[in-house]
Amino acid sequence: MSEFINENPEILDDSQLPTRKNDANDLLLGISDSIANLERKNLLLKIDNSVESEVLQNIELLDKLLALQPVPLLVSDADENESTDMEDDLEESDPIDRQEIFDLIASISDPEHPLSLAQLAIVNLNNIEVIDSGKRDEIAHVIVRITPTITHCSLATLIGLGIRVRLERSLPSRFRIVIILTKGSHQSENQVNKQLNDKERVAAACENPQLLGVVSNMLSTCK
Amino acid sequence: MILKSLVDSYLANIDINKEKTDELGSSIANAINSGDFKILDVIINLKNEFISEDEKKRQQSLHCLSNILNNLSSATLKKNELNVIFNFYQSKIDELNNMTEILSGFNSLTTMDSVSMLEISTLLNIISNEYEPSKFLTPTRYQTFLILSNIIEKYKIEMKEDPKFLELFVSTFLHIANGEKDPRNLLLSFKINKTITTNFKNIEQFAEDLFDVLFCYFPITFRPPKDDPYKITAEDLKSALQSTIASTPLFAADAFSNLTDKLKASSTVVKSDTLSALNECINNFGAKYCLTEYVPLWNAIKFELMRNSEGGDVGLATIIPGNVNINSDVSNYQLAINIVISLARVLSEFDINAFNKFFNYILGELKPNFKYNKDLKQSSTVLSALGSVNAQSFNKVITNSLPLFLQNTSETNQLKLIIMNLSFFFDSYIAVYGSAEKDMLNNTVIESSLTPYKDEILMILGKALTGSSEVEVTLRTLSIVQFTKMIKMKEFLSEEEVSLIVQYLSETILEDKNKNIYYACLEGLKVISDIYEPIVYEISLKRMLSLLPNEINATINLSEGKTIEKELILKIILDYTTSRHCLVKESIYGICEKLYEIAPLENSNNYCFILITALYTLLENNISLIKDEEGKEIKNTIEDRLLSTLINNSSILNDNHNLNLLSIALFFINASSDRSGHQSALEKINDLFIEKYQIFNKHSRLVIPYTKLISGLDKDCKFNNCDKYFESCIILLQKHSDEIVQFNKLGYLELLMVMSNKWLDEKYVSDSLDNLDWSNLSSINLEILTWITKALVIKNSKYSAGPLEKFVNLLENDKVGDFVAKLFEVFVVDIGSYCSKKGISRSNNVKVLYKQKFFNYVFPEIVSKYKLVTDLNIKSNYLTALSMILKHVPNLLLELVIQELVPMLLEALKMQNADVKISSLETLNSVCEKNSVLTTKYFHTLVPLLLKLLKKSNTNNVRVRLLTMQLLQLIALSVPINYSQSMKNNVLTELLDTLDDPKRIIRKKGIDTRQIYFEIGQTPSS
Amino acid sequence: MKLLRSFKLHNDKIWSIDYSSGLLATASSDLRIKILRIGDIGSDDIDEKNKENDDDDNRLLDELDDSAHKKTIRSVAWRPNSNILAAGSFDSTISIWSKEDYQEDEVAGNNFSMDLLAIIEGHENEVKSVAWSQDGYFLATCSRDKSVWIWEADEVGEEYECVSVLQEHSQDIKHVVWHPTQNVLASSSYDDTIRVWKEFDEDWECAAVLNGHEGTVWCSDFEHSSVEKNDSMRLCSGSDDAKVKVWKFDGVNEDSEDIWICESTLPPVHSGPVYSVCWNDDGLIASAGSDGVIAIYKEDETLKGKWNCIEKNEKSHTFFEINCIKWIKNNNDETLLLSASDDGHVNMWNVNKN
Repeated sequence: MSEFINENPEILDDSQLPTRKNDANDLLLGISDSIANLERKNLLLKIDNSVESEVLQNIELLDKLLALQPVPLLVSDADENESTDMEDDLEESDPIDRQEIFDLIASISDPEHPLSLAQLAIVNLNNIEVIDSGKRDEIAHVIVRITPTITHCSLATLIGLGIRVRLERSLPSRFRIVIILTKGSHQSENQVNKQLNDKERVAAACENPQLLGVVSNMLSTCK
Repeated sequence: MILKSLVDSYLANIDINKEKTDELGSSIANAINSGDFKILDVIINLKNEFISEDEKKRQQSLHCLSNILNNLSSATLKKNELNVIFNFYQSKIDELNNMTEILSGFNSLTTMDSVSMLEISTLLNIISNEYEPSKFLTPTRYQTFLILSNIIEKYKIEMKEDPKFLELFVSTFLHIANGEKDPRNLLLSFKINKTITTNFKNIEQFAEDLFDVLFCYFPITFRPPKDDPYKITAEDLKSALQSTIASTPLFAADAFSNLTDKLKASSTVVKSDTLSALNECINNFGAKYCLTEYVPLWNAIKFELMRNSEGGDVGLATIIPGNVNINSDVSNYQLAINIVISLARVLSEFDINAFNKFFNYILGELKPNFKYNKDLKQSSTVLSALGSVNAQSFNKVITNSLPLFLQNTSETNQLKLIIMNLSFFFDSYIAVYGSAEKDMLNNTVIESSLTPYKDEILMILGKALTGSSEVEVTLRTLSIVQFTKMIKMKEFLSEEEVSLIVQYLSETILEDKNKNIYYACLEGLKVISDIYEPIVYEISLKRMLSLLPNEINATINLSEGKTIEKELILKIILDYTTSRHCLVKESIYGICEKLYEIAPLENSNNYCFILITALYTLLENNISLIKDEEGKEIKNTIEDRLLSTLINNSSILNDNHNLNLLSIALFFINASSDRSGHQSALEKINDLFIEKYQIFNKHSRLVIPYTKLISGLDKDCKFNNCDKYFESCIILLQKHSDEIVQFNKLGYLELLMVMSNKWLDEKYVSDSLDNLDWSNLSSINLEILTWITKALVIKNSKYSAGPLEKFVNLLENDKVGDFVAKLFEVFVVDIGSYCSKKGISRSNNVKVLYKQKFFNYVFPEIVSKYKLVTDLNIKSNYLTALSMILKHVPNLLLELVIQELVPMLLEALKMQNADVKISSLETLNSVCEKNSVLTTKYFHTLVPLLLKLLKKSNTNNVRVRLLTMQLLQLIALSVPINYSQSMKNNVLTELLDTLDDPKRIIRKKGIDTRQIYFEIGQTPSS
Repeated sequence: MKLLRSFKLHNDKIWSIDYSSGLLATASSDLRIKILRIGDIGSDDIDEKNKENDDDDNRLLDELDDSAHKKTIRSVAWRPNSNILAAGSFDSTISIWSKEDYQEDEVAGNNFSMDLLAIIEGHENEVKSVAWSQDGYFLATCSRDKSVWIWEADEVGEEYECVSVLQEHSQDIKHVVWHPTQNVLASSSYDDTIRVWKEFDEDWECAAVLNGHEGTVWCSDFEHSSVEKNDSMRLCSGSDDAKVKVWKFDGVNEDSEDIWICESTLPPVHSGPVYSVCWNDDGLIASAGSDGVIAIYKEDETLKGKWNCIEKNEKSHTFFEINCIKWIKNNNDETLLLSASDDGHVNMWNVNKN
């Protein structure tokens, strides 16, 4: 794409983008931890944000040694004989929410600018909708409304496709994904919408090597 | 007789064996030097050849003679002898084919002491009248250059005194130099030319010719042939030519006009040659000429300077002194700037009015740019360059330049430009007055023409920083950077002004949420505290500390309703105090003070926690910095109060983390304090804890601080009745094992380890181990044994083998085996306050390589036993024990046993025990990271095993699932593509479940892993 | 309705199925076509034991060479009264397969295998649907290239001559279907319309355009009434607008164009796109789609054109989308329903007629 379709778009600074607040688990690799300990570790991460932090290592050493107890007392083994539901309570579950969807697609890079869709405000948190009972055997819905940088952006379809591929790969099969343009954000709004949500066309597009190449470039920046 | 034969064999060897001829030549010469023969004898011996009809023979004879002459010492020949030979050569001069030999003969003669001025002049005449360079090959021509350079070196005085002679020489030189092409000859030609122009006056009439014979080669390019015997480089020629052109003001007029002319060239190479030549000229010709030439010069380089866009970073260009000779890879822009600087220097050193003229001229040209906002960067760079040579120039420049753009505006882009331009002039200041160094408080402020603008500048930068909107990150960063630069300017700011800046920066770092700004401020504060640490302490650190509230949940208000978390304040303190003595010390004190305040309050645990964390980190980061004296001071100032705070406040005493961390902090304080006080310290501590608090009679949380405190003390301290306490400690543990809480128990166990490692004789320790009841499998007893054994293990004691063997055997015990397995981690786990760290080595007996020794002993034991047993639980015990160890041993060791290990690890993945799986997965991960060959080898067994671990179950807990996917990712990246391809779809399908996992962190990992597998074998295009 | 069997056949979407003389053929994104023997299964066959020891593998007769197509197989169709199968693919080609002289009893032995007879090229891009005329004389194919091609096939099915290219749709064409007794063709399109095509002396022309759906029409099917008379010709259609409509031929206007009217829009059942509709001999219409629902509609005996939904079966393939449904007759001439889904399964249902 030698010629930019939109030469100078508005850009948001990464720090302005919504993120999931102090999700310490990510950093601490989800060591199942007492709430108290997690709180402490969160405090700590605010002061010294690295896993190498000596203090953190000390805390973990302490926890480890404290956990060193004869088998019957060991928490982790306690639920060996419990049912899996028991485990469920142990690992309280996090629902799939709009923030999670946002995080999935925010870092997709724009096909023509070296920027992410979020930075270009093509996707934003409030234009994502999740309808999910949380039940594993029931259909759930995700609606993503995207806003191209300019109303004649011929790449809108490509961007939409990128988002759809990302979500289809990332979400459980029970999710129905709808991707549409925000009202009035595009000259040929309806055509684009129709195409983006035509199951058959999307499937075919994903078998087109060139297209797939571009898409995987867009997705290569996904964090 | 002998001579005859020598000469004959010489002739025989010519063109056949050079070594031989040279050798003969010199030996004959030596014989002559030592008076065995006369040179005339040689001539006689060669007579027939000289007059022979045979051209070749004649040449050979000349060859012989010249070679001999060449080897003669300059004193040997007598006047008449020399005269004879001279005439002989002269008589031969028409034998064009022998010219090389003849000239080299002459050349040798010119170096002889007995040669006469008459002969020299004659020779010069011969060369200029009877020798036609163009007729001869390079080697021949080379001889003439040799001759002339010898002559000029030898006869400078004569030439000075006798203009006729000089004239003769110069014209001869011009004669041979014309049209020369050979690099070796050119080097000589340039050299002679330079010697002429730099040694003699009254050669004006030749100036032009000398210049032409020189400049016709400019710009010189030369690609040395392979195996060039003379090893001449293009650089040699370049610099020789350049320095010769620049050698004399005589050339000034021609040089400047011709060079500026060359600047029109399009080739950047030509340009850069020309520019650096010009620069050298300016520096050598002196002000007089520059004064007449600067206008055309300026016009010639203007283009280079204005067109160029890299303006921004040339701030530092101005610092490079113009007279250092420029290496070729400097950009033309830089070269042009250097010319400006050189001109400025030369002129201002000559006469400030000259400089002013020059400056005003350029200023006149650049002024409009400021009016119309065009090429501002470039213009400012030029002006600041002009101001960078000395105080005079600087003042002139500033007074005239700053008014051009320095103005009070709130228009953002305007501000940006102003600040950017300012930075160039700051650089000139530093170039002129130097940069500030440490300890320059109560400094005298230099009165420069920049001084009057100080307030306005500070005002503008301040405005840019505080006045502009949050979004203007660039502008605010710019102003912070410039603030920092001003600090670096030697004796520019007064103390008050520095304080003001510090205030700006610390307010900004507190209030601003943007991370770039944060780091800019941080950098600024660091720089400042390098120079004005006390000010930073007074203005910034005190403020930060004072912000920390005295209630638990108080919100901290900054200006304009902004607020900040206390955690962030502490983070800032930690970030910028590091390795700044005073700041570190004061932060430590400040935080302690705060802790004294907070600890007594209701449920202040978390607040205490972050304070303690900060304190801990400060000590930990700067342990090497805090030297004995300082350590002592710190210890004396805070230890007692800290200790009593710890003991008297449940917010610390009854909070595991707080107690543990603060105790370790106390450990640091002791470890870094002057050792002379340790003995008394130990006694004091013992009185307090053993006598007063009776920690060995009734179990108490105070054992933790006690253990950490004594961990820090010198191991050479004398610990009375250590053995007695050691035993009572064991008894205490055994008696109260049921009611004593895990945390305290740990404290006592660690204490056992410390005592027996540090103070007790290892024989004694191993005996008491033997006396303990190994058949008692109560957990407490096992733990006691473990920790005492650890003490031996970490000091590589020979007594450790026995107990270790017992432990290995315990692994197959079906009751406690699995617990013992976990205990194996204790042996190798590093305890922060008790390991071989630099600086605290004298506090303990931890050997650096103990893990190696331990591992080499235990690993084979376990493996062999593992292979024998069949019972899964027992197997799993061995595996657990192994993985517990592997977590802590250096990878180097792992490498050695990997082949044996992997099959066991794979087996472990099948066992229904989360911990075993985890440990095995962790090890496999680290294996896979390093050893892709091995990974590939086990690929087909490993992957299916892993896919089974993805299904959520109580032995496939979160950690297992995470590690499994971690490993799947690693595999995808490390095995050959045809492998990963084969499994691609399978893995993708199996991973589907993880997408609906209740745990977000698992879903995330699942997605990332799938992404990696999707990309396998895809060729991203664009 | 009751689930009789669920066959796990593919690791990816099944787009289309067709059934003829006891044989099921499937088309999937995994580039495979599978042939399954299912004619012997009947509604009475509820004995759990049967199901257990009845594994798909010995029902699976053949898996066609997956190198024939480079991309998704979108559509399969058996040629009436033969063992010839046509398959259309996103790679823009159509493959023709055949199994000569195949007897039921041979099946036990696994010597059943189909060979590639021909590859038909012509479409510019993805082929979306293939269909044989009732006499097996014509093959209709449609594609995203906005054209329907009608091919004339020889007896053995090796030679194909294109007799007509119909290019009147303004968009992507999703589906083609022939009338069960006459050479009338219906094509459904992304342009929201259905077109009906007829042969006028050696040439094919658009006889009518059916407007009314508010989204892509995914599929249509003619009524199986044995009556030969034109005037009773009816067509049902399913669309992205989640509606199922029934259209009726209503004579010819002065310009001798057929007139079709939308007789009725069936009671709303679906919450998402309807991908497949099918009409059986007993007059029942079945519809299925993205919402995983299979709906069965019955026409009111007394009031023609009034339809009621007599079955709404949810989660027919758990939460997966259903791409295709087909009424079939098993060896005992029982009518059963097949559904194919994204989950790679084909489910077999017994539907009671009222």
